[in-house]
Amino acid sequence: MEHYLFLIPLLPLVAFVINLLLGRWVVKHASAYIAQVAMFGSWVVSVLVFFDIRGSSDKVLEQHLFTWIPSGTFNVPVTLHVDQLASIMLLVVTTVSTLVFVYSKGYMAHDGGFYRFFAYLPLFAFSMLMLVLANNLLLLYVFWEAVGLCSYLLIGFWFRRRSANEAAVKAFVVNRVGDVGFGLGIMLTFWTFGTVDFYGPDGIFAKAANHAALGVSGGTMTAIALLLFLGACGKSAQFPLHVWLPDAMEGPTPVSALIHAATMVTAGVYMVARTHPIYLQSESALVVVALIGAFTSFLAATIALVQYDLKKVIAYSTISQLGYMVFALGTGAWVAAIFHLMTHAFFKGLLFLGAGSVMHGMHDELDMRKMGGLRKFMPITFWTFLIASFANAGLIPFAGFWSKDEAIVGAWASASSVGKLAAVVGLITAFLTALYMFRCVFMTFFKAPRFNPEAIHPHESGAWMAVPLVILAVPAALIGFIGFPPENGPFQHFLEPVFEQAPAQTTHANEQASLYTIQEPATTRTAIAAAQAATATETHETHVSTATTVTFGIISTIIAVSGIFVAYLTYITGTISATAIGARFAPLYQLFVNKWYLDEIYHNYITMPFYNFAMFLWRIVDVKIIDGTVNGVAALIGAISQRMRTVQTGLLANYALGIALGMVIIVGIYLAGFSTLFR
Amino acid sequence: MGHLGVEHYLFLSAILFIIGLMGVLVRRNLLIIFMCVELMMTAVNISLVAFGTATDTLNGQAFVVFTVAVAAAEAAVGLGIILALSRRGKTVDVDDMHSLRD
Repeated sequence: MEHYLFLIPLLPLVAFVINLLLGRWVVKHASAYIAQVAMFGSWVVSVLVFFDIRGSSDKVLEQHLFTWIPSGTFNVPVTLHVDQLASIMLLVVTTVSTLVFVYSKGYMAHDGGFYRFFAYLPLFAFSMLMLVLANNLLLLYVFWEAVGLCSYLLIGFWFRRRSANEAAVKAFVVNRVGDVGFGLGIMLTFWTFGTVDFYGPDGIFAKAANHAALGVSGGTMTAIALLLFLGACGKSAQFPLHVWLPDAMEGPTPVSALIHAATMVTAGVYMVARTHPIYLQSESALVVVALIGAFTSFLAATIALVQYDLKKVIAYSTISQLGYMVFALGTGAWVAAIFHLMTHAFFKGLLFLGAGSVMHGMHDELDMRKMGGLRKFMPITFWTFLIASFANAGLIPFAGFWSKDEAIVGAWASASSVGKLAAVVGLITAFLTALYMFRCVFMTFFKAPRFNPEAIHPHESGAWMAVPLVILAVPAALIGFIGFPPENGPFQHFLEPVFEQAPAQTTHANEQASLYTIQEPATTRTAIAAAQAATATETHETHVSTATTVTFGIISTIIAVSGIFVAYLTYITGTISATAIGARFAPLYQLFVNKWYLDEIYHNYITMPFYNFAMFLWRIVDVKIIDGTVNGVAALIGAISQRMRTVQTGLLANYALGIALGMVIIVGIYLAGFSTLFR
Repeated sequence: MGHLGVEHYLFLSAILFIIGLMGVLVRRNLLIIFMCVELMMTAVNISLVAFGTATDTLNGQAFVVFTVAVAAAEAAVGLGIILALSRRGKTVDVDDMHSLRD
C-alpha cells in the first residue's frame, strides 16, 4: 500500500493545477467535477490506507519521494509517513473535503470566481494532506505555511469587499506571530538535536525521550515545546492569538466549514499530538498548554453567548471546542483530543454548511434577529443543523458527547496539576455551549419569522447542498460510538500504539546511556537517574474507573440538558428575559459583547505602537535621515559645482592666462626649490 | 660692448616670448593671437639655437629645423581654421566665439 501513498496529496494537486491553468477558459464549470473527482480518489486511497494500517497493531506506512535539502549532515527528505494518528487525520480531511467540495458546487454556482474557488480548494486539500503526511518538522512547517496561504486566499476570496481583505490580512498577520514561534522552535530543535526528522533512532522523538542522557536540559525541552505551541496557538486560534478566526468568517461559508472549522484550525492540535514525545518531557509546558486551552474554551463560549451573527456564534464555538482539544492535550489525554478533533470536524463542518444553507435561503442574511421560523421553510437544513447542535452541545448519544466527555474525564483523571481545574472549566463551558448553541437553533428555526415574508422567500437549498448535509449528519450523530465504551473503544485501541511509544523509547534511552557508562560513570549515573525521574513524571493515559466515567457522563448530560432548557425558557417561552439579564449584569454583558475588549487592547497596545513606530521610521528615519543624507550629498555637490562652473568663462584669454600663470608657478617652484641658478 | 654670450640670446628669446605671451593674453583678434603664438615659437627657436652654439653641438639647430617644419604645417592648419571661422561667423573676435560654452 505504501507505494500508493503519493496519490493522496497528488490528486488534489493535479486538480489544482488543471483548474488554475485551464479553469477560466477551458474547463469553466466543470472545474467543480475535476476537484470533486480528485478529492474522492484521494478519499478512496485514504480509506484503503486506513484498512491497511488497521491490519496490524503497530503497522506504519512510509514512502520516500525525494530528498529536498541534501546538505552535509542536514538532510530534509520529502517522505510520506502514515501511522494511526495520520491515518485518522487523512480520513477526516478527505471525508470533510469531499463533502464540502460537493456542497460548494451548489453554494458557489452563481459566483464569478467559480473556477478560482475550485482551484484554491484542492490546493488547500493538497497542503493539508502533506502537512498530515510529513515525516519531519521542516516539511510540516512548509505545508503549515501553505495552508495558511490557502486560508488567506480563501478568506479574501471576495477581494472586492474591503472587510474581506482586512480579515484576510488579519488572519495572515496573526498567524505570522504564531509561526515565528514555530520557526524558532524548529531552529531550536535542530540546534539541540541536529535533526528535524520525527522518527527513527536518530529522530527528534527518540532524542527527546532521552534528552537527559544527551546533556539537553529540561529548560531547553520546555522552550522547544512552548515555541512549537505558540505556532499551534496561531493556527488553532487559541488565546491570545484567536482573534483572527471570527473575522475569517468573511470568506465563503464552505471555506469556513472546511478550513476554519474542520481541518486547518485543527492542524495545531495535530501538531502538538504529533510532537507529544517532546511535550511529555516538559511538565511546565503541558501546564501552559492545559491552561491556555481551558481559558480559551471558556472565553470563546462567553463571547458566543451574545453574538447575533449566526456564523460568528459558530466561529466562537469552534474556538471554544478547539480549547477543549488543547486542554486535553495539555493534560495528557492525547487520544481524547484527537477523538474530539474528529467528531468536531464532522459536527462543526455540518453546522457551518447548515449556516451556509440558511444564508443561501435567506439571501445572505446572517443576523439571527432577522430570522426565525425557518424550520418550516428548510426542513433538511433544520434537522441536520439540529443534529449538529446536539452534537456540539454534547448531548448523549451524539458524537460530541462522547469525545467532549472523554476530554473532561481525561483532564480530571490526569496526573497534571491543572487537570482538575481544566475539567471544571470544561464542564462550565459545556453548559455555555449548550446554551449558545440552542439560542442559535431557537432564534433561527423556531417561533414566528422576524423577517418580511413578502420580501424574502426562504427556500430549501438544492440537492448539491442538501445531500452533503444529510451525509455529514450521519457521522455527526453516530461517530461517537467508535469511542464506546469510553476509554476502551475501538478508536482508543487503534490510536494506542502512537501514544504508547514513550516508555519503549525510554528503555532505548537507558540502553544508550549505559553505553556511555564505561567512559564516564559518575556523570552518566546521574543522567540515568534523571532519565528515570523524567519517565516517572510522564503523564500517561491513565485508565479511569467506570464509576468516574459514568459519573462524569451523567453530570455532563445534566449540564447539557439544563443548558438547552435555559435556552428554551429564554428564547421560546420567554420565561427568562435575556435583555433583563443583560441589564442586570451590564458590565459582564458589555465585556462579552465587546469580545473581552481583546481587539481593542491589541489595537491600542500592539498595533498602534507598531504603527506609530513604523510611521516614525518612515517619516523621520527614512525620509529625514536616509533620504536626507542622500539628497544632502547631491545638493552639496550641486552647490559646489554651481560655483565652480563660473570658472569656465569660455573666454580664450582667461584660459591662456591660466596656462601662463600655471607655467610661471611651476617654473617658479622649480627655480625656488630645486634649481641652483639663483643660489 | 664685449663678447656676445649665450645670455644675450636668452634675454632676446625671453623678451620675444613675453611679447608673444602678452599678445595672446590681451588681444581679441584671432589672427593677431595666432601671429603672437608664432612669435613665441620663434623665441623658443632662438633659445634652442643659442644653446646649440653654446654647447658646441648641432642638436639645437637640428631641433629648430623640425620646429620650423612643424610650425609651417601648423600655420597652414591654423590659418585654414581662422578662415573657416571668419566665413562662418563674419568675425575673428575670440570673445564672440563661445558656441561650445552654452
